[in-house]
Amino acid sequence: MLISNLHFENKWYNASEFEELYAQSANPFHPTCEKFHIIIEQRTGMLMDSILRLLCLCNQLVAVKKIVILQFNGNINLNNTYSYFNRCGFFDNLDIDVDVIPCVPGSSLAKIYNGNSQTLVEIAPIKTQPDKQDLSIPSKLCNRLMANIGIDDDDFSNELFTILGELCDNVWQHSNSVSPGFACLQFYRRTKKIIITVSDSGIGLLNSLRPHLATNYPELVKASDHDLVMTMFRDGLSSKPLETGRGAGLSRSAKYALAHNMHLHLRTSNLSVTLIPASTEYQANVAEFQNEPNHLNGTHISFEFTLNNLKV
Amino acid sequence: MNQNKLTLQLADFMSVECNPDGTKDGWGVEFGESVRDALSQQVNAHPEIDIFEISFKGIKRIDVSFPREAVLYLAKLKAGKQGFVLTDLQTRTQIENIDGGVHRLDFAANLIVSDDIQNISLGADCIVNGNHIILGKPSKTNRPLVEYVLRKNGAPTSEIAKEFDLQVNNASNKLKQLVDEGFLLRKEQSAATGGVEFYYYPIK
Repeated sequence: MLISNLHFENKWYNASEFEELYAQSANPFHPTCEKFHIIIEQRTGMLMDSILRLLCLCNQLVAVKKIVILQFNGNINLNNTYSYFNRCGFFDNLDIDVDVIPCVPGSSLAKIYNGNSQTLVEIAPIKTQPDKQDLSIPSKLCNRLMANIGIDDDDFSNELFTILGELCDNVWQHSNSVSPGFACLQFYRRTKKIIITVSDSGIGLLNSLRPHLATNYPELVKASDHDLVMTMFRDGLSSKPLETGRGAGLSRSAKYALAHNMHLHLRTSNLSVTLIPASTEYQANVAEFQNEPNHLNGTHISFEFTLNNLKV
Repeated sequence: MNQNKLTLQLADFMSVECNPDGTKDGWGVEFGESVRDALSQQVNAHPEIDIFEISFKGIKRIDVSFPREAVLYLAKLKAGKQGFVLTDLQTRTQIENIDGGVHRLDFAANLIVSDDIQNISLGADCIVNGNHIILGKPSKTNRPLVEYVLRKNGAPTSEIAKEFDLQVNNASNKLKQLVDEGFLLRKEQSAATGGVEFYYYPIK
């Protein structure tokens, strides 16, 4: 039996570091791989964007009948990641077929304390079935963050809402998946860092766009993934007919993100990139494209910023 | 020439949980479409109305997709027949997000803004006439015609043609284009020379 391993050590992992580590694992989606074994050490720390990717990865693998083991080492009562996963709702959204060692928590701290943290907005599932859209997600995320960061600025609140609304809507519009997406928001008080992250397990943003390039943007048919990503965030692209007027959401979100010096992380099935603000746009020469990330379905976008860099 | 107007509160058409302060937020294509459907029913029930004032009172935040789907798309469908002017916008960001939809739909949006928002920088793709702002960019040759109609608060074809030294049918073509693009509305009226001509007026 071929087993792929993913071993988180006693250190913090953001999205980029998650991808670097995961890239060292054998592709767990490969037909010859039967089992995916994840180990989390007692002092592992994971930022929210890496947590959502791990959640999606686990759920995607069990959906294709892989055996997935999520093992927490050491004393789970002292394992910070285990308790944080419980608190943020990770286990509530984890597929029941994932084998958690030593065990899934007996009770969900996310459900018990839902809405009561000043720094965490619990993982919210974005359901993709018709009539199941939860319209409250962007508002709740936004309201909680604005209440906790002590900024009273209606424009900033609306800019944040725009980013959240457009990201959530992209899951609904483009994921083409019955599996839910996830949205989450974390405010790290010590560093004053905020991470907004939305992940789904669908076909991926670029795979959604490419079939329609010949009709909508013939000049981009031969564009690389790199160039498509930059165009998407700079000018906007749509998979729908141009007369519908769609495709401006991500570019507008990127514009607001730039104004507040936010770093933007995008991960699709075969592309992982970090866009860093440079002047008035995200520029290719300051984008960090990671070569050949390991396979992960869906689109995973996160915006990362610090309070000190906000222009309010 | 008097226009028949009706004010509709957009929040009344939004079936969504309120924020703790009682306001509502609008986001996404699906939600925008559902609001448009509800709004359409009211609009279709009033064929006598020339201009609908769509008030954003009680709406705290919007993204780019929602106003485009809820209002701008409907305005485009009704171009030339009925006009829509957006009022009670609260923030610069709301206006910028509406502008995002204007640019993509290639159809103008008419806004009435308060004094404190009036001075925000909107760039060149808009026409400002006091607190009436039109988001959208007419062609270089048509822009003066829009500005004239706004200044005069309405004018017939013959007057506009004379002002810009145009043949009447040439002026008529340009003005018809501006109506189709959402910058103006028009109504038939008796011409001084007998017969009928169009009277063009702002959507405000």
